[in-house]
Amino acid sequence: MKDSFNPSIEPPKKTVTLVSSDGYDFEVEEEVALESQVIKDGFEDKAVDDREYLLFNVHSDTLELIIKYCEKHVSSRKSISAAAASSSSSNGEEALKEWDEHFISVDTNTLYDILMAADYLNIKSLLDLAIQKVADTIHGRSPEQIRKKFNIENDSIIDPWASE
Amino acid sequence: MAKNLPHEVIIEILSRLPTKTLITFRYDSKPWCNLTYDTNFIKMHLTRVLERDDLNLFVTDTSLNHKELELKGVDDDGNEVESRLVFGYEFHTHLYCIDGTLFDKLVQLRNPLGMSFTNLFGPPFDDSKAMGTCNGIICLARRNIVLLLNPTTQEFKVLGFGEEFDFDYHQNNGFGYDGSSDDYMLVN
Repeated sequence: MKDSFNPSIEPPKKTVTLVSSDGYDFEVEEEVALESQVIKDGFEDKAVDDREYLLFNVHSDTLELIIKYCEKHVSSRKSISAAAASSSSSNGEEALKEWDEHFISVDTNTLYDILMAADYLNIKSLLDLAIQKVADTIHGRSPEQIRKKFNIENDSIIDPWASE
Repeated sequence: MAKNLPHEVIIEILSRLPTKTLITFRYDSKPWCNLTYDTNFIKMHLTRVLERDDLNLFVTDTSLNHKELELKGVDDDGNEVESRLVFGYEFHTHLYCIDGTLFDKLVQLRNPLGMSFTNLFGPPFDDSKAMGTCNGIICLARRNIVLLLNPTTQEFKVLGFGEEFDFDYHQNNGFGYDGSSDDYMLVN
């Protein structure tokens, strides 16, 4: 009884299990998983003991990175708002930007895996980060080179008037 | 790399390319060309450019006596650019763009309605008054004729107003974008 009034004792963190396409289980905190809009949508409707998500399109190597990103963003947001609340100066947002830049500086294959996973899981900030990075890499390329890079076989997919 | 990115993701990526790259798409094929003329895509692209603060043209009227206007900015490759618009009493317009990170290259921008242009609206627009710039578009005027010019794509639009309008007579003009009507406005 006494314990419940002691602010130093935190309630046990609620967790969610994410299962990668190659069958690995990742147990993450609820708020970390909720960074994904797809998980967030309909989360409340899911029974508490059934909070397991099978991510058929995300390999464990990628999922590990995605979780790392979400954990960092959840914790940074907390420290930024804590700093704002105590009106102490903080370079939290800048530090996070730097962290993001470092995080997304990966080889092309990994970058595409992250991009696909961020799209699939609908993690807006990560999707933006990855899209900008890909755009930076194709800066100044010709349509032919872009076609090759993105496997565009039929040009009509980029034609906004194709379906009209 | 056999990855098939979703269609919307590809469009998102393309919307973040510099204008210079997108212009080359127009010489490739019909679908790629169509994309660069699509209103939604243009808006997406402009939003990205403004988000990154890549397009930073602004106008200063340095001296009324000299009737000199200056445009400065940064292009979408991140190179610092200074464009100058100068005119005397007879409104002689020059469009310049200073290129290179050290402001060391002066490039004169071609005014598509300049001397070489035989137009239906009278003399060439070399002698028009600078009204301002917004979202990468330069607005020039001569009496009741208004010219909207995109120096990057060399596209332009000439608008004729009624005889009662005299845009270069007024000293204080502003050119801007009105979000509520999704259109550009000329204020004086």
